[in-house]
Amino acid sequence: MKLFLRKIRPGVLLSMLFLCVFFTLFLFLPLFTVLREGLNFGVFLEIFRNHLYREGMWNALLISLTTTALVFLFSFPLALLYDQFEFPGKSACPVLMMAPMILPPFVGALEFQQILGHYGVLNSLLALFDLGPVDFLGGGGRFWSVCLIEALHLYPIAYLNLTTALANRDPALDEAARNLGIPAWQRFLHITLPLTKPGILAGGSIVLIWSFTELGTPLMFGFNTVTPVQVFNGITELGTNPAAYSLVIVMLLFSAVLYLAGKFLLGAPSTATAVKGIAGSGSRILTGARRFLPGLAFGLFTFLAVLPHLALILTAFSESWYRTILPLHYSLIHFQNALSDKLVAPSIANSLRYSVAATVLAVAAGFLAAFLSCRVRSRLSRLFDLAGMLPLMIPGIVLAVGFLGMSIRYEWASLLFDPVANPVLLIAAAYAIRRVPYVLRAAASGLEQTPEELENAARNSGAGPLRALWKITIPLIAANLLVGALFAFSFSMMEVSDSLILAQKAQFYPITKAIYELSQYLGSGPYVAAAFGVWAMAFLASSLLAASILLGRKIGALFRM
Amino acid sequence: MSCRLEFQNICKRYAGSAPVLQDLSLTVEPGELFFLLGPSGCGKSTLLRIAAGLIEPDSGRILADGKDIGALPPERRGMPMVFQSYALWPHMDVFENVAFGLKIRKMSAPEIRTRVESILEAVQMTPYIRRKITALSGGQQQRVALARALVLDPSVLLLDEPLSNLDAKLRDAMRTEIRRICKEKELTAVYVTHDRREALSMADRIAVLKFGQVRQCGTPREIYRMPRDRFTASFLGDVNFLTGCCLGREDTFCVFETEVGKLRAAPGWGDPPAPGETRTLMFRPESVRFDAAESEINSFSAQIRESWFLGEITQTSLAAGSFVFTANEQAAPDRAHGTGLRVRISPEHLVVLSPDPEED
Repeated sequence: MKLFLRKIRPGVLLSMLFLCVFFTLFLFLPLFTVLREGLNFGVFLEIFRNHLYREGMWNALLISLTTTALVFLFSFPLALLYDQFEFPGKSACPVLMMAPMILPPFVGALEFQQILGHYGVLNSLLALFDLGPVDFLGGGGRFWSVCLIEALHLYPIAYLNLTTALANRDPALDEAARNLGIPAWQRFLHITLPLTKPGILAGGSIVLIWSFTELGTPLMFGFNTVTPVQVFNGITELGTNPAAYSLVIVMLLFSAVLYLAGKFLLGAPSTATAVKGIAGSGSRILTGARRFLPGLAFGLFTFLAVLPHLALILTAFSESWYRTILPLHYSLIHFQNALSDKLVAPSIANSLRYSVAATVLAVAAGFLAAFLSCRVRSRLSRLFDLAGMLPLMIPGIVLAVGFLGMSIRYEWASLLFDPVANPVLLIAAAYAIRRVPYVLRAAASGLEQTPEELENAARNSGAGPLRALWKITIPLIAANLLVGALFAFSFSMMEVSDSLILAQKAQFYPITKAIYELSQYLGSGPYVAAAFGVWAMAFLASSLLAASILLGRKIGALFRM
Repeated sequence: MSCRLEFQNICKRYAGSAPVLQDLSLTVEPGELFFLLGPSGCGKSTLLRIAAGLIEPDSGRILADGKDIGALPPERRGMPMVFQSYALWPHMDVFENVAFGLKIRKMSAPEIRTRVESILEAVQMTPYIRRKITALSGGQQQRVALARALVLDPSVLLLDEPLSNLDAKLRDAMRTEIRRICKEKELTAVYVTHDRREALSMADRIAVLKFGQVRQCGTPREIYRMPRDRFTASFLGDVNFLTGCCLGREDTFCVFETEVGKLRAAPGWGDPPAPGETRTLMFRPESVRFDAAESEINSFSAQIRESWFLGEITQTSLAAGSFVFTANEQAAPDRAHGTGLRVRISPEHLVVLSPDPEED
């Protein structure tokens, strides 16, 4: 230990100290609190005896598996098209694929009801042909709606991971198979698919856990017999009833089992993907009318995916929208109402405040963890990398409950993380810890792609460690850091689970909770919520656009973490 | 400006691996172009990085003009390095890359400009001063890397296989260029390579490394003509080995009984062989003289097994009994397979090797 302290640079030591405090306070302590409060055999027994809780778990699991299957059904063909062919409009595809992410799925759920509801667009369309009405949202329809809306929101994550895995494989491997006369589908089955396992595992586990723990969408559809909603409903009794803690532990275990099952099924990442081809991308240039087909597929799919967004915009601009395919009259009244509502302006300021603070924290922790892992390479620094990636495995709802539990359990935490009097640090920390993996992986990928020799050359030219970091490393990985920061900020702005659970007083509501509350108003509530949703969507879209302008042609890299 | 660089008892071992450097000691004289030559993994780049301060040795000292610089961080050593990958910063252009070190030293803008322009002229890169690094060819990048190191007016220049990424023609041109610049500026330069031709053609002195130890250190001629052991002999070029039993001494030579008869050999390095001792002898293919007279000492009969025309030389494989060896000959006449002839190796070119520290 003495030798370690003697050899270690002060900057590295400070970084390690910061990360120790950060992860202990924002990750391990909330987890510990949940485990401490919820590990109660009696309560577990009660939970598993209660058929509502059992049904909730089963539904959550079914939603998760179905959503993941749908996500791959959507994203795999698109990723293959993108990888295999050169076609007009290819450069716009990464941006198109991100479009669904600018709206949280629960807002999409609000508008999905406008499309599929009893008096919605689809039934109005069917009525033209004297058909229907069909109760799309009744019975199993609600389940499928939740799965579909989540899949339409989450497929970009799988798509990004798949395209990265496909791009990383050596095209010569496919060419060798082709050269041996192996037909296309066999090549896909025996060459491409095994080589994209890392992408499937990476994208699949995020989607699986995300959809398993998604709170907003089922809540919006009134699908209450799912575990996350049951936890949300149990929050108010957190001080007296440990059921919510135990439910959260069950979710945590389920998430771990789902992740491990995925890993077991997909096996270890293929080593062949580590060898990058030198023969170029290997994508084929389509000619004639066929060259427009992939672009058309991307366009059509994106249109389907952004239907809730379009419905949101139409709802926001309509006077009212009922029993018609399109609104009959348009108006700006809901926008005016949204701006004048006492919830709206403060919620924008709150979201900005929380998200900026979360981004700063996430970028600091993510970058330092990545730097220690990629450049210092001690066992301890690898532990920071592990800790930084852990929030991907841990559902947001678990940490949110953990933070609340800390504020109830520990006096010092109630001062620091007071959900009633001042939840700024509480919400920012909850947002930040879950965004660290994005920054960490983005920064790590930048550092891995930037030869350490470049920093050595700077040191060798006379620059100290900090100057080498500032002048060489940071400019070279700036795009990666920006990507991480952008993801952290955007996802924080549209965060649902933490916002719904942790923001308890109206004056502290962030945007998502304000939209949820507005949508519950009787009368014009959903319209005002839609108008506010449009504001939020425009804001996020412009931040993505700004990033694309800032990064120029590197925008593709932005979506390939 | 040049400086004397000493490595004293340097040891380095990476976690979980065999020692990279084992009690290595070397001295590089002021103004010397000193080569570290050896196969991959012999520790030559590690030694260079230790000199640059990029790697910390487990033990040992590094002295520059007698001063221990082991505790100095890389940025305070004043030993710029030309990296194998060039390590040019892609977000800066040629000028910015070369000027970086001068800016760190807080020089005035006009002085920086003057020095950068002057060094770019020396490496013939003036027309590319505002070119992006990514728009340069390998050879041009190599020149910029050299300029970035030289612009700091260093007392010691470190070069880590700087030519390994260039094609053969450019490599030849750059060898001359680097040697010219080092000599013009009277730099002490430590140059790492695994290319023996590069080392032989450029070095003032060469240290041959294996398993983190210096096997031999000397001028190119010394280590080529009189290698200490089998490893050095074969690493420096094609070689023939012959085993013989020492019969005694005649004048300055040792007499050996070998399978091709009695041969006289130069005693080489280390302890001279005692009578009755078996030693390995070595000679280079180009030392073999064809069509020797029967009366000449160190001559013996051999038969041609095969020959290959290689342009400037013809390489011939010969057999004398069970002893098979190779000979190189310029302007060789055509000789048929199985032709018998008499060859000679002069005693100066037949060298007694020291026993290897380990079995090669």
